[in-house]
Amino acid sequence: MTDSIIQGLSVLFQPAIMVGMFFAILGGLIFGLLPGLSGLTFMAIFIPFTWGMDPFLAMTILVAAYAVSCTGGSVTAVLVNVPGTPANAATVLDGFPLTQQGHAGRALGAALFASASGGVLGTLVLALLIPAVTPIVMAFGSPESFFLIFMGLSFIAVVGQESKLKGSISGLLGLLVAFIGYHDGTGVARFTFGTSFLLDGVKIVPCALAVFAVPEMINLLITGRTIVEERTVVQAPFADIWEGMKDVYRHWWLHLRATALGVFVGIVPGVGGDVAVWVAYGHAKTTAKHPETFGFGNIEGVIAPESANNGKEGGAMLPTLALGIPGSAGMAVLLGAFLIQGLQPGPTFLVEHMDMAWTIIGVLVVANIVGAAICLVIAPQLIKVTRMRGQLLAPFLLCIIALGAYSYRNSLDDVFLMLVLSFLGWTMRQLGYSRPGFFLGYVLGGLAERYFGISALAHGWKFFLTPISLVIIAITIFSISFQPIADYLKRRKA
Amino acid sequence: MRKKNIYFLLLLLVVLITGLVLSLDFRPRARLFPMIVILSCGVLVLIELLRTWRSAPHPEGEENAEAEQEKRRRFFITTGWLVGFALTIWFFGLAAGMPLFILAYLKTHGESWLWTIVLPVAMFVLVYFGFGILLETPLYEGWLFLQYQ
Repeated sequence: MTDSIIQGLSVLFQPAIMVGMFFAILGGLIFGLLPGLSGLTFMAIFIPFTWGMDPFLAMTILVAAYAVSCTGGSVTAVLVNVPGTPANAATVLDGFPLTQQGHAGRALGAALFASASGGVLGTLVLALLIPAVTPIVMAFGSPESFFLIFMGLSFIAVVGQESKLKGSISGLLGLLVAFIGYHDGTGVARFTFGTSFLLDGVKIVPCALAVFAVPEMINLLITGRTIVEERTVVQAPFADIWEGMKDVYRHWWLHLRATALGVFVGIVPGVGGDVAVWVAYGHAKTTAKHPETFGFGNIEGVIAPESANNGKEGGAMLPTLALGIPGSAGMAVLLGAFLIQGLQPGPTFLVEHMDMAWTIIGVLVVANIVGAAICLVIAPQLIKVTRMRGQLLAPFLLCIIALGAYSYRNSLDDVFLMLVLSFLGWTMRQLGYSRPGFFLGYVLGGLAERYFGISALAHGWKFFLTPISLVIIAITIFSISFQPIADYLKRRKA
Repeated sequence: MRKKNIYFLLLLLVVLITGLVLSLDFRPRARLFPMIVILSCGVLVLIELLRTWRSAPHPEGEENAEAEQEKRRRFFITTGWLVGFALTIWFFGLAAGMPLFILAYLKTHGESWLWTIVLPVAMFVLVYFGFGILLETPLYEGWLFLQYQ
């Protein structure tokens, strides 16, 4: 074991690996910054080039780029309200208001430091849990996955700053959008209006851009102003960034909880990082001292999702390496890369290639730290974009957003669908409906229906009577009722 | 805001009723979740509609009405630009349409020639070289250019 650890980690000091990792980190950050592209796209593009490459170098490049894409995505989410990857969608809720208040540096500092630290902690959990992963993953069947998703759905009404009624309507609308397309269980085409384009459903990238990014561009086009009001005093960038980093330390308990949630959701195959960030955000809001400030620039609303979205990679890597079960689309592509290299992830992998597992662990740690450090160094320059006039910025960003929607499936229909949906996003923004609630419903709707269907077919109506399901139900009830009960007790005391 | 919310909720009701009618044609397993969601959403929309209906309308001063009218005018102009954007990329394709849109927008809004040239060129480089050549993304060529192939 010790030999494998030393052998695996020593690979990281080879010049070729170091150079490869550095360029992969840069690539991953750029792919994360551009909406529509992600670490997954980087891996898909780069995999053909790994043919015949040294397996350690190939895996280092792929894992490093994949690990930092969410870090890159958080920069655009904070600065211009455009989530670079779907896993950054929750970051815009409080990150962008902080930027508008002149605290872009603080939001970036917190997001990047939480990302790096969450990624490192998630990886440490990966290292510790490798021996225990089989029983954990095997304990999660479809009923447990359904209740995990149900826990996420329980936050629909509270993720936005709007009234609970409007939040619930928004969430249910999101669920309805998630049902567009083929039904998994029966193959029935639902709400497609006879078009073949909608048979695959509304895809996540155009939807995320339509709900969060385009309405903000419409606003910039209408007002023509800068993102940060001209009269707003902007703090010295480095001091502000340092303040943001200290915020993560101040909220270390939230950071740990959100990272743990990210790792936990990451481990469960088929749920994915897009769910992890919303569960973390909802949890942060329901347990915060001042939940009413969420959505208006509460730094906790930046720390929680950013801790979770990098923490999840460690978790997702566990079932992939130890069982050969990819927990997400990114992990499925990575699994393909392993097979190209002649490596077969699964129970025997950790016996035969323990050194490779430790190299991957080392890459995850280094990539997260270096990725965040690169972003922190260039952050003061990036912040200047918030001072550009909306008239200049908005048409350029609109094109980049459209390019992101297009490149997801190379389909112009996705761009048109995004533009149509963006009017719904704009209306919701103007009338005070919850866009986060809508998006949460959309992300979880299809998964909830799928796992409910499988659970009901496999276990009958008693499917919720498993120990893990009951624990998740209890946590859900606790999360929802914690704040109202605490408020009630406070009022009674007063 | 009150009036707009009422119109929006009425539109939602129409959408939900349409969804409900469409769901009736699905097989039982395929319609279970959509129907639960549509019915729950319908009930909530009705409650919100009643609440909004009963709430007192804001007394709107002349200044507010003027500002509101100006905002509406700008919104329609922006909508026009977005429709124009969609038509431009459909007609000219991504590599030509996007720089053209930026150029047209900036020039119409009286921007300096420096920005009017730099931003469209930067966009062309990003789309054509970044996505088209480097990432090998098959770029949509546009209706106009497809006619000559």
